[in-house]
Amino acid sequence: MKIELRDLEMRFGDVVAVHRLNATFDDGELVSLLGPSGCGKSTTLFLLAGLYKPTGGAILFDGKVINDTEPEHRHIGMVFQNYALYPHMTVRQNIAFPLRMLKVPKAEQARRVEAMAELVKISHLLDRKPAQLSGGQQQRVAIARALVKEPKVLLLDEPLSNLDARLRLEMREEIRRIQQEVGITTIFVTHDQEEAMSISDRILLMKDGKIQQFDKPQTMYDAPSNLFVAEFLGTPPINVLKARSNAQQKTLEIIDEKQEVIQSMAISDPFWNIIKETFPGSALFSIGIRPESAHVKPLRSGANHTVKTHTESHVLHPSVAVPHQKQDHAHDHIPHDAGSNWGTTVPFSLSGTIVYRETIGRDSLVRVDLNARSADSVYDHAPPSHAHENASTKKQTGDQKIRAYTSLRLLVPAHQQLEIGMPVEVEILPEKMHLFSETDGARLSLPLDINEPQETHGPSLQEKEVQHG
Amino acid sequence: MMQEKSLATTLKALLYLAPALIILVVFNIYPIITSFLMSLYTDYDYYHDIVYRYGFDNFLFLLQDEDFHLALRNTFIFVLGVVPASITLSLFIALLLNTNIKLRGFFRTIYFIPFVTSVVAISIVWRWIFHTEYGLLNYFLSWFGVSPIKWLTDPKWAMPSLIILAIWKGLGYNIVIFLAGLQNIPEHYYLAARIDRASRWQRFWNITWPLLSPTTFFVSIISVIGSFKVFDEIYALFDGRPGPVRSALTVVYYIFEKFYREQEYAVASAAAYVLFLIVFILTLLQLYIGKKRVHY
Repeated sequence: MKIELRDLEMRFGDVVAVHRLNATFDDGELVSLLGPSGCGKSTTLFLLAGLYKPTGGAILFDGKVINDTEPEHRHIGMVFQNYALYPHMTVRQNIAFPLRMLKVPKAEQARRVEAMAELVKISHLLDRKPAQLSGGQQQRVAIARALVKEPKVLLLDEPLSNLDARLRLEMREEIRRIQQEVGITTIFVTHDQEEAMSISDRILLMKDGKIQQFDKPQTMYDAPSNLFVAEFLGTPPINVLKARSNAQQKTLEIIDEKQEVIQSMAISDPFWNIIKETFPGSALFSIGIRPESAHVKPLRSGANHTVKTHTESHVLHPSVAVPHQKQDHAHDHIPHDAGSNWGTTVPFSLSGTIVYRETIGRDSLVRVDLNARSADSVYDHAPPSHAHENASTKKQTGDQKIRAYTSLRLLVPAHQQLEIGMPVEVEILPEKMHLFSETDGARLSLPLDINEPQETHGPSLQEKEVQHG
Repeated sequence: MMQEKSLATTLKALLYLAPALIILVVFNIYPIITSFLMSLYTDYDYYHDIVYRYGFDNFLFLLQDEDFHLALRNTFIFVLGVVPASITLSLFIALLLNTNIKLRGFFRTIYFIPFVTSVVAISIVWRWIFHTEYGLLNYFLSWFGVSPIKWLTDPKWAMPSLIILAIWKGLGYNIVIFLAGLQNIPEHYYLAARIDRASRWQRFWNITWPLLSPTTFFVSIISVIGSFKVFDEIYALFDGRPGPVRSALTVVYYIFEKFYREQEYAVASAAAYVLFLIVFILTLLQLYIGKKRVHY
């Protein structure tokens, strides 16, 4: 069933929980409603279920307005956060309950319950009470009960939040499998970005009752429409630096909380032209850098620290357009589509010191302090906090104080020899860098989006690049 | 933090329990034991506490006593008249009060007032209400063409009057317990049931009733025991008599009469033990049923 939300609004007294929501969910699609707690995602789900009635706008199921239809008549199945299995009924009775309410004949009830139990793999548990089941099993029963009456929409309200980490992984694959087997339009509420990314066809990211972005997971990750989206998606979270453009020197100045310049980043002409277009004069903005989209290499000729695959002659002055050589084996943690771009565009570079290193196994996480002056007392300043917190503390209006971080968390190949205290150079490709307006957090560098080469400015950049090269 | 059981810790615990234990022993346990012994006195001097002979004569007397049979019959009628009606009515009102109505707190207080008011005061007011010529009840009934009923003076109507009063009085307490039980049922079961297309009636029978069963069970046991012990309502309503022509004579009233009015201490004790046994057996029966039907 196709679902449309038109200017959907929900107020509780003075609080606007959902603010003019417009979205269309296609038939058979799995859409995640994602956002921090209190963003209105569960309210939206309850509006879809009919447990709340909207105070404005409309909900359309297959083109028909169903604002005032009671939940009983909406043909929906729902899985609640705590499953809401009837504790006094056996699993069989729980799953049969919706059928019993529909007065389905006994024999057919039994047949459909068995079939559904098989689909969610709980046939051996049918005669137990919910209290005798594990969390994951209860989850499966709840899904079976929601699906047994063959609804047209399946609503899931944070269904995995009560499960432990490993089970969560397993259940989200199960939910995806069942959803695709049944082919039902599914709305999945979660506050876990990783869960949303892994399970959804599309993600609807909300904040304060408003849509931030509604896109495919990969698009959302590669081209976040604003700073909030960028910070919400991805672990480890995106690095955010404050920067100011300096027109005289054609540099981006990375600044700290006191607005003092930590270091300047020389930038190539084509990129500069775009910045000039977007911000006439000197402007403040945020730079987002994903932990995996930078190269870290030892800076000084500390001889024994050199990484064998890198030649170091050119890296200090990236504004001089020296094309990079493709070095796949060193960059295999970079997505392939990006890898092919090294060499065509000139990376920006920042210098810093490794202050922390964490082994993950597949790769390593390092923190690079960019503030040369504080290199000796590196642990004095706070590391980039968690994405949610970061986003919420940075209110766009009124708050004049700039919250700036002066270190980067970056993922490096597991066996790269980087040690604490080592001076390094961080290289970032312009197209891997996200720029956001300081005033409203909106994405600024659209022309550089690698995923949308069809954008008007995209090809022109490539052309300019070629000329300069 | 659990301490190891030892003589010292046991004594310490006893010390803390002593105040309550002493009161319980002096006023409950000791009388229970002595009254059991007293029910076996067949020849005795009450004032000097000298017993010449023990036996089962008192119980044999109860077996043959018409009054005791009447008291038993009346008590059973009373219990059957009060308990089911009271539970049904209080559950119904609790369901209404559990919805989002205005002045909910106010109504809850109103319904609880009868429970905390003195039985004597209540009975006096009800004597006015039940009055044959000037009573409110007959006045209301007259609107529907019912000729005046002699609520308190007609032997046929004495028991129904008593039952009405008892139901009304017990309502508040039951409602409060039911409300607590209803609020313990998580909202999401109802939401789930609505999505499963259960009607209001189906939601009551499939969710509320089974999940409320521990409460219903508790209320029914408390009500049965309480109703078997009915006394003060009768005393106040019928002005110190067990109703017209002993029509409201209950077991406790019978015990009271034997003990205080006829000085038949041993017979009164025996009757008390019969009552105790009846209540005990009924409670065991309820517990047995409860184990099978109650969903915790």
